[in-house]
Amino acid sequence: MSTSPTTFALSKPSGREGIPNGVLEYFRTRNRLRVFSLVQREFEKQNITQSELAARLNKGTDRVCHLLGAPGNWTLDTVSDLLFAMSGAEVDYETRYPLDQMARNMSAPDWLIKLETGQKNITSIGLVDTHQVAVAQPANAAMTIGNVVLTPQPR
Amino acid sequence: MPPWSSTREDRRHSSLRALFDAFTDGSYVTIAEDPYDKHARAILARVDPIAEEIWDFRCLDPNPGIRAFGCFSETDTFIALTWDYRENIDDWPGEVDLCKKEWKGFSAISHPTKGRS
Repeated sequence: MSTSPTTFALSKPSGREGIPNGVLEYFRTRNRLRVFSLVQREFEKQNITQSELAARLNKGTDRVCHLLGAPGNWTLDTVSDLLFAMSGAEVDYETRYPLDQMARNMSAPDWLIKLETGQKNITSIGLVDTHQVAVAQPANAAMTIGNVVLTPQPR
Repeated sequence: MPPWSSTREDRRHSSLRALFDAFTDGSYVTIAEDPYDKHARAILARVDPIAEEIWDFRCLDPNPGIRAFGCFSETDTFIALTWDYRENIDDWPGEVDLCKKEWKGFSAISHPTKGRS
C-alpha cells in the first residue's frame, strides 16, 4: 500500500509565485474547522446550555443552535461573541508552520494492509478518479493511522 | 490530492481533503444522523436508508461541493468508497447501491460498524 505525507507535500510559498486557489481553499477549510473545534471545546468545557448561551448573546436559541452546528458563515466577530459569552474567553492567537512539521507516519488498520495483498485494484494515492478509498481515523485513537487515501483503478 | 491548481474542481478536492484531515486530527465534525433533518452545513451525514450505515462526507465549499460516501469499518475509522461532484448526484439510492457494492470488496469486514465514537 502506498502511503505518503500528502497533506504537507504542499510547497511553502516563496518568491512571487502565485499560490493556487486549491491550496488556499485547503487552508481556509482547515482554518474554519480549527476555529470551530476551539469553540466547541470551550462550549463543552463550560457545561452551559445553548439556551443560556442564547440569552447571554441576546439571540434566539435557534440562532445559536445554528451557529454551533457548523462554522460555515462565521466571522471573527462570531468567534469573539461566542467565546466571550461562553466564559469570558478570547482567542489566543499565534502562528504556526504546518508545512515545516514532519509528516505523520501514515499507516492503516491491519485488515486493510492484509486486504491490499489480495485486492490488486488498490494501487495508488490520489483523488484523481471516480472511485476512492479513504481511510481516516483520529490521531488519538487506539490504533494510530494518520490518514491514508487509496485510489482503485478505474473500473 | 496536492498539488492543487486553481480550478474549481481542485478547490473542491482540497476542501474535501481538509475535511478528511480534520477528522483524522480529531477535530469536531458535525454529524447528521437523520438524513431528512440535518443542519445545512453538517459535515458528516447518514444516508437513507439508515440501516445500511452509509455516510457521506459533505464538502460544501465551493458550492456545490463533493460528496464522499463510505462506511465505518470500526469505531472512528471511516472508509470512503465512492465520491462525485454534488451536481452529478441525483440518484441517491443508486449511490447507496454503488457504495454497498464497493463495500463488498472489503471481505475482511462483514458489515459496517454502527454506534458512537
